[in-house]
Amino acid sequence: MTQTIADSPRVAQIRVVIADDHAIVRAGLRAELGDDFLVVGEADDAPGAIDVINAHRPDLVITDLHMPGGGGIEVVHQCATIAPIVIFTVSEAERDLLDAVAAGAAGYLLKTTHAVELRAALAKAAAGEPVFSPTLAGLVLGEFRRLALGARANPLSEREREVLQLVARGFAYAAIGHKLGISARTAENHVRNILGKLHLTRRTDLVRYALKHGLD
Amino acid sequence: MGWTISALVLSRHAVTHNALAISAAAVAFAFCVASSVDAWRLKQHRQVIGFTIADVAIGLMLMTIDGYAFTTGHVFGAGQTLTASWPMVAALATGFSLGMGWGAGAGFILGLGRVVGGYANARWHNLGIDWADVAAGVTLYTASGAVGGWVLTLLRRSDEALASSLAAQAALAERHNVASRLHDTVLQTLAVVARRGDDDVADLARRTDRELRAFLFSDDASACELLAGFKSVAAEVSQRFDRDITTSFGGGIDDRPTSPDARNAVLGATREALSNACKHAAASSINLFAQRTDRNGLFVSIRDDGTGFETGAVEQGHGLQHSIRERIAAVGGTVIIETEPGAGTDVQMSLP
Repeated sequence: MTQTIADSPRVAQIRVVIADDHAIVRAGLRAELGDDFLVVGEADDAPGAIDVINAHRPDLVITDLHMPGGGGIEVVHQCATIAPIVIFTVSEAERDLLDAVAAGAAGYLLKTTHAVELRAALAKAAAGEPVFSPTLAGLVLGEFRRLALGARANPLSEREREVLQLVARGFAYAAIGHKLGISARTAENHVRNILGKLHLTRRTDLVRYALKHGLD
Repeated sequence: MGWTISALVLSRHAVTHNALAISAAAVAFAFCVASSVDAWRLKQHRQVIGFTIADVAIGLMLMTIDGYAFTTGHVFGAGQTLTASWPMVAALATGFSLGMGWGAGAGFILGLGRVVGGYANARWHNLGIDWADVAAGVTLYTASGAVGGWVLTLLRRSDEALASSLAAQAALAERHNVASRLHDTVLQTLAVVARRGDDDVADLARRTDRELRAFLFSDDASACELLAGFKSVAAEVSQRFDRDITTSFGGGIDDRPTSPDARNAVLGATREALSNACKHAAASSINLFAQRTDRNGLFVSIRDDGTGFETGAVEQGHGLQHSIRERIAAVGGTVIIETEPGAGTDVQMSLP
């Protein structure tokens, strides 16, 4: 008897933990994730999520932002080294996005994202790529502009700024690549670098602030 | 009260009718104790009409007895008398608890008490009445009663103003509470429904989501802020044409004030461009983006992925010339339109 690889248990299933204080959101997500994902644990608050993540060591965490017990940011603080964490929220507030990136979130997706796009974005996040809703790119752009105005050198290169502006204007990576004469892959790499820089500058800012004000 | 007793002690050499003066002071003292005990028992000062009347009556009694109990001319002299403080307090108290008119009335009655007291004092000691002093006394008490009432009326009014502004604040807070509740619950549920496929129900959920967001935005679209203006224009067009419009804004849009002319021009042109995209483009996505440029200029892009058009051929028909280009040119800005058939349209507006 022979058995082909294809018949063996699904190899590429992504193990996911979902944290959200609304049961309907968790149920909806579970139904939408499809066969590529396997939900290994759920939680309805931050401490619960941290426990579940430590117990199951998943490939990906999807968490709401506003939850009891510290919310999604606390989950990111505690578990960002264990698995990529994607914030899944209805909040389009600038602060929320910047705080999430500063804490080390791998992605920030709005709950209005279509199921197909959502699945694609989550698969990317599990593979270690940063994902965030294009509508939020403008906020990142604004943050870098503010940093540049604040007498510090603009930490974004000209090309990175171009890419980010096109993302904010709703262009897909392929279209951005086409427009700028680079590959879609390169365009995506730019976005990853941009988020990395934002994470760093936000962290540096926080540390500087803490030192200045004698906080720890 | 302490004042009355010390006045009695200090001016004892002038008192001719010890028993009368002491008993008057005793009555006043008893009243003081009674009302203090009452106030202490209820943990608040009771502005009861009975107390007020008793207060005035005692004041009146003190005034009258004053005349009998003291020596010659004392009523009109400089020495301390039984009446030194009580009637004034009674007049003020009446004004406080019953208002200006009643306060003035009580003050007037107390003033009359002084007339009687003065008359008695004068008769007792065979002196003439100092009418000027009596008139001054009547006026003083009447005025103090009235002022007491007036001050309290003012205080009450500002109290009411404070209460109504607190009520307005509470209503606003309640609104925000409701909005954030909707945000936390209804929008979550709508988002779930909207994602679950492309049938009528998902469509309905998206539309409801749009309407709700339009309502939430319209609430805080304060008059002169540009960012709020963009959001409310996007929400309004989105609702009118029943189409999704995604928005993305660079931070700092309102860092610098925008003149009303520039604001109206930009928002008007934005509304026109978004409406065009909804009406003509057959687009699957429409995106509004705005950001401040390095030198505090403004850049706005309205992009769709629809049919596009031949530049020149359709421009007039699209109202681009008048509604968008002229409006922006009038405030010193420029418009670039990137489009070709089948490749969508990107209207880019720049203001210095």
